[in-house]
Amino acid sequence: MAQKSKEVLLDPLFNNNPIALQVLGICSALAVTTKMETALVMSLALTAVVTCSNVAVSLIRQYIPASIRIIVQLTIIASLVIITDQILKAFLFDISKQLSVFVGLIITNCIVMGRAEAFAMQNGPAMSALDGLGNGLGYSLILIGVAFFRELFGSGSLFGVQLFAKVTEGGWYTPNGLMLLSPSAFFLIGLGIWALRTWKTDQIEED
Amino acid sequence: MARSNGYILGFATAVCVVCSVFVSGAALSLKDKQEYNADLDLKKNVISVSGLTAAGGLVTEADVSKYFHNPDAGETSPNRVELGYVDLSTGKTVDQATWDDYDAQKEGKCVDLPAKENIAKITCLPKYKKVYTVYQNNTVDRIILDVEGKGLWSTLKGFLAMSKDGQTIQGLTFYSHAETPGLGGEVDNPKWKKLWVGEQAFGGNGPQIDIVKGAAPTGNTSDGKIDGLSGATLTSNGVEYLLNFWLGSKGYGTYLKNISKGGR
Repeated sequence: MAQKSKEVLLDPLFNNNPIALQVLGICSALAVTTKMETALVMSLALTAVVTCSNVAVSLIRQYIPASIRIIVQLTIIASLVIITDQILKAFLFDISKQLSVFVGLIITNCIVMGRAEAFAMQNGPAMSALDGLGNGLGYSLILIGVAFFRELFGSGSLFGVQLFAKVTEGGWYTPNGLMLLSPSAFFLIGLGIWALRTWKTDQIEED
Repeated sequence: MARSNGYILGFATAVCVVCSVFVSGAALSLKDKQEYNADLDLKKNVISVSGLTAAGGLVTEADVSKYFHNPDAGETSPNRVELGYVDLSTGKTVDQATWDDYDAQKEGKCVDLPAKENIAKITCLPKYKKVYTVYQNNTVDRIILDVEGKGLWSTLKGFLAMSKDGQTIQGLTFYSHAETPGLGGEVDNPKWKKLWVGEQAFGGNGPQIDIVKGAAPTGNTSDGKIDGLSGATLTSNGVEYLLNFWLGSKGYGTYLKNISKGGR
């Protein structure tokens, strides 16, 4: 049992990463990763939503009529997302302004719905919570990794703290403007997938 | 396992009720905090174009309470921002009581605006509008106007700071918009915002704001011509139209004319 819990929690980090292997949730990975701060808050928000939705769906999984299960899952997820958005607006107003619509768009994030349908419908609440947490962390890992490179090379800073003095402010570093645009996240995720599959060769798909 | 239709309907209703209780509970209990944040954010934006704090620097909550004039507090600081109200048609300021009466009205708040003249594409032209007056050492330094208009996706809402004679732009900032990040969203770029400082708002034929595709002609830096945002022509046009609208006679134009003649 303990072995299984560990697998459920840690598998989504490298072995079955929702972004790198399943290629889900790319939209927000492009949009909110220009800064570490927004990426971190987005990761926390998504992890909270996917964990809670997994638990909620798992608790009522035996009572959900099969014919309306998707819409029931969606209702639960949407409610959780709205609550998360309200909390961010109340306590982290500036960041919630920067994240703008992307918190609301967690509703359409395939990871949340995918875990509810694929895992929480078949497993108990404790396992589902671990699965949600694991997938949230897997998503966070990629998001924060991408944001690290984008903020460092795009703005020469991390968490808004200037590390490389920019040329415009009399320093030596010319910021790479491409890093601030969405395509760079594609390149970084692509490179990340390449690195991951070189390490874990069983993830390579056969032709 | 097949379920009866009654069960399915009942289940769906139960899920909806439970979820709506949670959502409305969260919305209600956090409302005060959110409204306080929104109000604080608005004031921070006003202060950011007031010139009272370092240009481009971050405005903190302490700055807001330091500089934002509170009529209920006894003392008046020499450097402050004061909220006032203007009757847009006459260009005269009105007192708090008039504004409160107007603000409390439920209907008839909008003034008729022919579609042709509505270049900012606003949904309602109010009779009275807010204006913020900035004092440095108890003399008027800037006038901050509350502007809004349609960009590409969203309504841009912001503040335009004018010099005390109402002719020269001193700053522009948007506190609410949902333009594309990286393209139209660059209206928040500090470098772009800096371009506005020192531009003459009025030419021979009224407001002369012109956001030029690419780079504005160099040399004359105060002719009202501003570099466009690359990849965001429609947002740039939106900003141009909304500024020209609010500087024009339907907007704050009359008020600014009064000010330039020395009236208040």
